[in-house]
Amino acid sequence: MEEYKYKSRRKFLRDLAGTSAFLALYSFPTELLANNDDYVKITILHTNDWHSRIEPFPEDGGKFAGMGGAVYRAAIINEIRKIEKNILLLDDGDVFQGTPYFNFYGGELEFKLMSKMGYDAGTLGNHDFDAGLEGLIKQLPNANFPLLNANYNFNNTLLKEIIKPYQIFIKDGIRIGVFGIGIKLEGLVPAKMYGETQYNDPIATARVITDKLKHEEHCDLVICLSHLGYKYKDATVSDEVLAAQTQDIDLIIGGHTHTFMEAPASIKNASGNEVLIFQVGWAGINLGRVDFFLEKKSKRKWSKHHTVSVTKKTN
Amino acid sequence: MNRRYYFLLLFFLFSCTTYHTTKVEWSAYHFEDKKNHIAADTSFVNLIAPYKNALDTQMNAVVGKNEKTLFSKKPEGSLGDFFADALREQTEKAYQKKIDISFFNSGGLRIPEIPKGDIKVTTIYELMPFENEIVVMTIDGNTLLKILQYSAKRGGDPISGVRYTIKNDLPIDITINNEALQPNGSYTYATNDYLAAGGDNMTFLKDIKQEKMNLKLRDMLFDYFKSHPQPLNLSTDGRVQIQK
Repeated sequence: MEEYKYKSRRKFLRDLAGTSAFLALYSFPTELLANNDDYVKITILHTNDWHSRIEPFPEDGGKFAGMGGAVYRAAIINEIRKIEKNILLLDDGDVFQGTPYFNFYGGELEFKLMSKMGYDAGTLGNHDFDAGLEGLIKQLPNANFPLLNANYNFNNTLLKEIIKPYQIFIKDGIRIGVFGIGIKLEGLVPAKMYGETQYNDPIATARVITDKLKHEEHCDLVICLSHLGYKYKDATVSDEVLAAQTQDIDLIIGGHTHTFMEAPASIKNASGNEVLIFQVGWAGINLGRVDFFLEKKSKRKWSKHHTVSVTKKTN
Repeated sequence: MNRRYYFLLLFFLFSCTTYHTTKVEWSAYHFEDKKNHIAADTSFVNLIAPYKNALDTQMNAVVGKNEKTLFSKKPEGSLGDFFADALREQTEKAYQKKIDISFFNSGGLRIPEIPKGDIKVTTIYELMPFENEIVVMTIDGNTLLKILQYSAKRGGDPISGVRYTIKNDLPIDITINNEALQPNGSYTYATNDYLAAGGDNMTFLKDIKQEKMNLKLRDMLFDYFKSHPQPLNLSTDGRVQIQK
């Protein structure tokens, strides 16, 4: 291997960025980093489109037989909590609708389980409107975490001032801004379900919010919970479009399209920096995980020079 | 820290992984088979138990039996054919007149398959969780063409009473009850109230007179199972094809 001779670490990092594909072939004992004083490790865990799958899929020989289930998700999250101290557990919406648990209990158990698992934030998917605004409000007391959305204007609805656009989380001195972006409801959700909710342009909204999170709130990491969908054949706004047309987003946690991604997609944003998009299918079959390493002293983010490594799930 | 260490560090500035809830491997963690290695937290089991117990008796009842697994597939799958045929047939009973065509959005079928064997109540809820009801309209041939153009563009949807081919994202060789589509013809059409009201951006149906059957799609399925000998043995019949 070629020997690197750089005077400054930063320059070293910058130059190394170009060889990321090559670097991804190697493995590294990441647990060493967790104990390192110079760096803060932020572990993002995420789900999307749970669709009321409280129990694993039935053992009926189906495609997903035995997969998923809140009990095992909770156990895995608990295992990770034993090892990692800076965890942010996020959900991308469409918690509701898909099994009799929703038809009969309206989402009560879903929110109770997520609260117990320690979710830090969620957002609104189109199916979270399936019991109407009243149905959603009724279940909010069961969620001890905020549902974030920045591009639905709820001012003329019962949700006014209940749904916040973003929230800042501070982990080990690292400021993490999380905001939510929802899909256009008209033509997708029956109008009587969302009432007077106004949909604002996702890109324009995201630009305003990211600017605020970066420059007023001084966030070190910016995460978007987007329920727009990963990508479409036509020009419909999607996570890919959102990533490319904004700046300052580090990670888009996606949903809606039920896309099973083994690795996050990497997109160049409007300033040429990389944005990760990660979505893990649906129904709680997978739990996504992204670890960020940030330099403590300068809070300089190493994401600018990152490589992505994914271990495939094993069946 | 020496330079070599930094270099190693950089390999994993970002580490991303997908956790599978049954068994997962990652560089720093190793989750073995859930049954053997990760103990379930009984407090979660206990939280779910009262909800589950109240549902189980009703939801585990068997409503039907399947000889073969029904799959959801584009342009045509056996699950979609089954659903659309059931919709047409059961709506005819409710409407007490012939229904020429039934149509449903593929995204409205919420599970990818109904495995062979016993079909439980819960499976029908999972296939059709929405509270949507059946709507009947009388449409002309041009409106039907719009529906098929809309559907062909996205690769096909569950349909019954119509056979056609998708070529370059457009419908061709359309027949209704074995007769070519007549632009000025009149057809009875069954669908759900979601699509009839412009759902999935099917905006061109909104202004057509709609007759509500006061029958939920889910209940329509339960009725279908009651009135058909079991097990069902259903396959696709090539009603929607793709021509390259």
